[in-house]
Amino acid sequence: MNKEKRKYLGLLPLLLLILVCGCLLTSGTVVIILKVNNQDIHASQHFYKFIVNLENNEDWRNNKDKLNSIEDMVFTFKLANPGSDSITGQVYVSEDSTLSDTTAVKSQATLILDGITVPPHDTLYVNMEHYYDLLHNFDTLRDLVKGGIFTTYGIVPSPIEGGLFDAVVIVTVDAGL
Amino acid sequence: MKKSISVFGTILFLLLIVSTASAGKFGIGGFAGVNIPIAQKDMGNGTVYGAKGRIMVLPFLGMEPNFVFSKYGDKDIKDDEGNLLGTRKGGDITSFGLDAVVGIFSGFSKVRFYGILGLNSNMVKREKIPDQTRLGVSIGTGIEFLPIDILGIEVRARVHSISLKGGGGRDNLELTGGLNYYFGPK
Repeated sequence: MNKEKRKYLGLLPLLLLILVCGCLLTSGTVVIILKVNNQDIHASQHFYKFIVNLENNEDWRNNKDKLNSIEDMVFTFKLANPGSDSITGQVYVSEDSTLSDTTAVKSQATLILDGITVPPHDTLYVNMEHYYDLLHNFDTLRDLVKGGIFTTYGIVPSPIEGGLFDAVVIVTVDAGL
Repeated sequence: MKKSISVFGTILFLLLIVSTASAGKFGIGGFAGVNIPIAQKDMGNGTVYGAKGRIMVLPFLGMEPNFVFSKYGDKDIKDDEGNLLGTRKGGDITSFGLDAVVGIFSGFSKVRFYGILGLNSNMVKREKIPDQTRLGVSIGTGIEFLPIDILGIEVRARVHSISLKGGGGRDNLELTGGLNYYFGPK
């Protein structure tokens, strides 16, 4: 083989790499961030409640038909405690948006966050790191997210209007390219 | 899992013995570099390092048993206004496998170009996701300079693709530099 031909032979692996990069890459992860409007968070005498509708997010709509799996699902939010005693709370999720009291939520929805504690006259910010410390039933939550719409119930002793605010839903999906 | 590792290790060992005896030329090497997630937007660039052997089976074909540690960088997740919502840990992969390297490895050249094609077993770990051991494929290209016959300085680009349970996967570009030391006759 002459020197000229050998020079071009050396470029073959590079061409092969470029070709294969295009063939192997069939999926990727996408981070979907959905802010929940504070006026969409309702406080009843039993719990806070808001509906997560991922259909409102363009990234979800663009990827839902190519969905391989839900990699991660995170809630971040702030919870105020204007009272003089510490409060504890839990967060549940369900496909059912009609649960009407704490007993129904505890028996029919899935507990995902437990151990939320807010000192008196303080506001707790549950960020991603804190969320992971509180998380339960992650696999159930991921299955629920695949449907695109679900309801979140936040249980505290005495929900007040505006006590739960700045909620953000962060979903990481693996989808086909 | 332990059984499959043992079988794989035994095959590699036998391959090493047979090839070394027949071809008479083999090398060992170490490498390190950067691990770039290609299509994962929730991971940052990380590091990759490892060790490998190279057994020349034919003048144009070598086999490389390898052991590779790759790490992803953490990724800050921000909302549209740029407010930090938190940091997602990247996770890591421990891999062992066998790459075939195809190129011109005869003694006349001090510079060698080659292609890489391999199979590997990968332990994929990430926070809040169950650990998975999955099969992966690797493909890439490299260039090796030999200032002296027994020592090679190598730069390579390798795409490492791993499928995960339940769909999806990890696709990484590994850019590494390393040194190879050769034994046996010229």
